Amino acid sequence: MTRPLASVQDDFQRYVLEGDDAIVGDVAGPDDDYRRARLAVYFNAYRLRLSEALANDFEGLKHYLGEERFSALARDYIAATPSVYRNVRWYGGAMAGFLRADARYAAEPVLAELAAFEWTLGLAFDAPDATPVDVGALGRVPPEAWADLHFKLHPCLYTLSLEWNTAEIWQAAADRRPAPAPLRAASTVAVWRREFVARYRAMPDAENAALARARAGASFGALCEALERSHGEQAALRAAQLLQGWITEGWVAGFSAGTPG
Amino acid sequence: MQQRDKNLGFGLGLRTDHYEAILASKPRVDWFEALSENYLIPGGRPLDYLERIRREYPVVLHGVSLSIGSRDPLDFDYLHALKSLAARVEPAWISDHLCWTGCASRNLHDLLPLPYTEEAIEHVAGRVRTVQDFLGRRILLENVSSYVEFTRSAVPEWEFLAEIARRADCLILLDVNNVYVSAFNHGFDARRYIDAVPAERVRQIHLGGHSHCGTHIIDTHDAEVIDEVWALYAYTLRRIGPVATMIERDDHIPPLADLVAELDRARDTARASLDSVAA
Repeated sequence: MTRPLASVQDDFQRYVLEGDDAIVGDVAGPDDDYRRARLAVYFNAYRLRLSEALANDFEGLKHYLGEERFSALARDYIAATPSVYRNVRWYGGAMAGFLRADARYAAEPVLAELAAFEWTLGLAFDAPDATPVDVGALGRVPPEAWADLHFKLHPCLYTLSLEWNTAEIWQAAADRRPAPAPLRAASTVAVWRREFVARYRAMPDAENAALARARAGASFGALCEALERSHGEQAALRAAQLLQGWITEGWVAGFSAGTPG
Repeated sequence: MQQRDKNLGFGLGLRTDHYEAILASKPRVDWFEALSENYLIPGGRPLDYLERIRREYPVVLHGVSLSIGSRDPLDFDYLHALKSLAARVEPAWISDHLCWTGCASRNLHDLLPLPYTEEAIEHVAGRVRTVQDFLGRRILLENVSSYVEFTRSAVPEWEFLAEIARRADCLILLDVNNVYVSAFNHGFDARRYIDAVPAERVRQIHLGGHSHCGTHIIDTHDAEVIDEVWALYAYTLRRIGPVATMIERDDHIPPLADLVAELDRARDTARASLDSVAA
């Protein structure tokens, strides 16, 4: 009676993931050394393939840590994180959480932040397509309709709160310069894609708050009201400037008068 | 020697490094093979390039994660996504590998070998039929390179492949390099494998380079096709007739022009081997 396919696959997989050798006896070959050497091709390929995917997704982290420490991180992550993804593209998604939680890395919080930042750049790069609104379309809205305008933000737009100079560290890697030392520096960055390139920029607190309101469905009138505390009579002007900036960046994928949508 | 329908000619694997060069230079390549998973993403640059290249060239879709041999249930989320991609790209055909890639909801991101048993034949053939019904088209299954064989295998790999193709009524993507690699790794005669392939089902041929490790060969797709594989390709064409052929390169990717030149060698080899049959 032939051993069922399911148990051969279970054992083979346990070998690749954990080095468990129950599968060795099922492999054809003259002796165990031969069988183990052949099985090792699969054991090594799994780790190599995932390491390459991580190096590809976290170039900034790799630059910051250096080749050797990054390789160790990849080994640790791979050992702790069996892939559940059909597409290796998503394998690194738990990296920031791993770096925050794992005792070997948690003492350097900038690492988790850098991983989250890079992962978000990747999400923006692959985000769904949508046609950005152009400034001209907004110019055709009659003045009396402005207070009721609601905005739909582009699906590629993410915001990220940072506590360290993470963006600077990432930029140094992108420019192939030595990374600066980690420094505490709270900021909020917008991450998005334009012309198929992922981009980021810091946002002042007032802009971040206004963008969060717009995302939550606030009307243009409500954005103006919220800005009155900081900008007084200039609130409407400031709201219009912000909106124009967002549209220029390609952050707005639609607007409608009346109900949010 | 029968002429197959849909012989697309001589193609290349579509790789990110070559997107711009393809659109700028419109190289003498008859078609491109796109890796399905690279385009099963929400949006952005890869899909835009794929659509622009599709306007200029026929495209086929080649998957690596169908996991047709896995003991896990078929993943219909994946199949839905693949079907949507196919509706968008209108590929000449869709292929994946005769292998499994993981079980118990894990993925090993590798093309893993199956035991060549009646159970596996029936399991895979049934699933191929389900996939073909769902996609509304026949798929191509590709033979993989392997580094181990299982003691429980009851038939050689070529019989396993042929029997699944027969029972599922699917097509075959014959990777000539993989036949060469597995023949070396397991000590069988590559020509015996080629002789046993059901010629009428072969819709596409893959050629590629590999890494020789002395005791075994690993299918790395990181180098030029070697002379022995060219010879096996010529042998294959003499036996099964003209078939759409492409070169796969996944690592150490050279400039597009180098691959176009290597593809000319495929054209020359095909012409010479088919002339020798006609003569």
